[in-house]
Amino acid sequence: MVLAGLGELTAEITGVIDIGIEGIMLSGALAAFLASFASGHGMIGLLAGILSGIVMAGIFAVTCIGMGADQIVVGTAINLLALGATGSFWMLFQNWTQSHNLVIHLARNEAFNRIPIPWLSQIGFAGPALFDQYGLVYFTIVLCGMVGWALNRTRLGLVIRGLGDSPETCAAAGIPVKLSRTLATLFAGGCAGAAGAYLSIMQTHSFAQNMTDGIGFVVLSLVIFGRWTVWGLISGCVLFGAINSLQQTLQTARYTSHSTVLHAMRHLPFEIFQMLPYLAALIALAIFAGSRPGPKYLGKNWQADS
Amino acid sequence: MSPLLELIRITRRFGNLTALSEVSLRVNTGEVFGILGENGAGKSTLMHLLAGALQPNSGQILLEGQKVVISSPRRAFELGIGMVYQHFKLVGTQTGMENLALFAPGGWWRGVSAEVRQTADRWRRELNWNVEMHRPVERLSVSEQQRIEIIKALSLGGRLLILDEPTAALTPAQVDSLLSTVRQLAERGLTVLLVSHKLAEIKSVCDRIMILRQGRMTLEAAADDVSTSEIITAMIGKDISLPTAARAPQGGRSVLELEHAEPKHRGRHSFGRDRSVLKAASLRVNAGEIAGICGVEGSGQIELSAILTGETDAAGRLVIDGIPLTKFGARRHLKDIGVIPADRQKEGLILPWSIHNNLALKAHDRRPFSRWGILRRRGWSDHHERIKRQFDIRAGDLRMPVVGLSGGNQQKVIVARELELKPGFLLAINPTRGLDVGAAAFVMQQMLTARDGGMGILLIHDDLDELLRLSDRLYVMYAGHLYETPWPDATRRQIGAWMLGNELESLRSGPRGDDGFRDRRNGPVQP
Repeated sequence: MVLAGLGELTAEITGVIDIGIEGIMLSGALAAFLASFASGHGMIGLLAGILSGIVMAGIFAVTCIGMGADQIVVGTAINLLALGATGSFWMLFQNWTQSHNLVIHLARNEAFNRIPIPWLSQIGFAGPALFDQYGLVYFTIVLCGMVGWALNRTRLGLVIRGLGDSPETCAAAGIPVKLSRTLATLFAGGCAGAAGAYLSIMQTHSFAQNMTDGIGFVVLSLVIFGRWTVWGLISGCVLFGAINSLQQTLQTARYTSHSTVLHAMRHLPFEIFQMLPYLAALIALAIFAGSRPGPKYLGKNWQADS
Repeated sequence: MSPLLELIRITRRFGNLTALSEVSLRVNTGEVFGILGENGAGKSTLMHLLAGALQPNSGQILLEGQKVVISSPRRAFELGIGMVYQHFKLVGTQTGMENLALFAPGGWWRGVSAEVRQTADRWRRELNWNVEMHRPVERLSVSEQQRIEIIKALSLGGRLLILDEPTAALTPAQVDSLLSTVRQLAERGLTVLLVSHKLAEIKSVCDRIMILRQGRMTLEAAADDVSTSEIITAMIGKDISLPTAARAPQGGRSVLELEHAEPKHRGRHSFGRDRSVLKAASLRVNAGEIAGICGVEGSGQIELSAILTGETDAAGRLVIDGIPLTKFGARRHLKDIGVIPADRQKEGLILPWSIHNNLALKAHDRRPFSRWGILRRRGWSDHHERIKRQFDIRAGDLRMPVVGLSGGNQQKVIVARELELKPGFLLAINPTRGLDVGAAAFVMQQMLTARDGGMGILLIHDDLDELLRLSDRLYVMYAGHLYETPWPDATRRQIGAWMLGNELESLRSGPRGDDGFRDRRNGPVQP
């Protein structure tokens, strides 16, 4: 989620809002699964996920940045397209495997394994959570640091932020606005594709229809919640993750615990619990939105005059 | 010695329109060169060519005798050409230094480098400017932003500085300071190109000037050798003298009376602080006269006009055309008074709509424009074609959206709409702001004609010259209070002192000594 958010963050700072991120993650998840299933190599799956994310973002870039279509409309279209296409593809794939008597599951060694960092992963409570993870997670942490540094400390970052706040200034500085925005969008696509790949080939070792389940949209709101900063985004993701595991714990606890309060919750439908993190995201947005406006040209296409 | 910059027969076309036609010029090192022209004469096209944002269709640009192709803004910087656009090219959320670094050449991975900082500091010291470089520029004033822009242009270019309408957003004192900076830079050997449509500034600061009209150069001369009327002739093709009319006779019936008016709700978000400037304003406008209000910006002009148009509920007494108004009445009567608003694009026009619709905005519910609530567009055409001729609105087709018109023609649409209603009272706020000489003279003439036809006009204007030229009577507004002046029996110097709040004791502040007013002031608005 952090990874997808990081890409989206970069794109939004340049003034491109890609709400198709959900669909891009979904397509990345499927592509990664199919590729690693076919090849037997997790790395090829990951690359396929990234590639499909870039391709999807490429469609978005061509239509919106190139041809000037509305970003929200195209983003929605990409979401619907990805949901439908991955769903039907997945069904075809299932039929095919059934007729050939293949088992749809990635063997343990085909997908990535967790890489525990010696020593650090042993440390008490937080050790396993932080230091016994997939390689992609470590990479994400490093990437966060890099993006944060680049945005705040380099000329590249000035340009990226300038593109979202005042594209005409960047044009006057001799920076190709559309090309730069396209690159940021492709970066976002690659990140979202990799995040999708994480879901399928690392977390679940499988694919399921609509497996992203709204995470892309949560990411969109977390970018706003984090006020377009890397640290804000990370804290938003951590908060969301915490509330999410809290609701999962609550769901089980109401059957196992002896507490009367928890016991009473038994009669609540489980959807109520699943709703909680999204509700929290909504409330957080309502509280924090407007306190600092985002990029001025967010979602607005830019055309050179004359 | 070859000149610093030489243009040879430069032509630039946009589709069918020739924006620049065979323009040649020579600018010497250390010279302040002025480029004058009306809106649309090709000034900005020329600037964009030099800044690398556009390419000429034909012609050559020579820099110190060498032929150059300014292929991109970056190339322009490399050649030493720094440009300050009228609308600043700054990222508002970034600091001045960061904006400089954004433009500076160099690697992607470097931040605000020491080099950028040193160059900026050097120019800051040289110009003796104490500009805040470490705050987001959007929190700085316009003149500070401009200084950052100039520092940026100098740091990037450093040989040729191009200033595009640099004084448009500045107060008179800031203009003086800027112009002396320009001279100072020229004395240091820098060359400055100054683009403007303000005659006086150009004449006072430039060594030589060039005048563009409809893409062609019509005059090139040393600034001291040409007279203002020669310049105007070259700019607009004919000699236009600004209209002056004999003063109107005094003592017509009153079309507007305002007594002790002030906003009823004092700043909704003021949290107890009194943010409203306007205090107990009283004034009177008679039929067939122009009453002017002068004052430093922010003295209460905005609140006053909001009360007159009914945007703000007012305490006090407001009588228009002999009818006392309640607050609801003011809204209804907005259709019966004419208003030329301060911001023509935001308050005066619906930009994406056609000229037809904009002209009909106020009169569409009257015959012959509609009957039984149904618009009769056939009736519009003839009427609007006549208006278009009468008000000299230069547009191909009345169905085209007003957003495509020049500022002058947009203003003419508003003036035409408001005057055609033949209201008894017209409120005009900065009616000629941003217009070129020809359009401004036209708008002024139309107002005088309307006045002679018996209209009472209240003119709030920040151009003191024009205000004095037009006004039959004059009020001074200072810190929210209105004072009537003995104009025309007062000197300009005296008026300037009043505007700054000096010697106001000699003036009368509205009707005084009538206790009846005081009672009404705190009560409800009279029905």
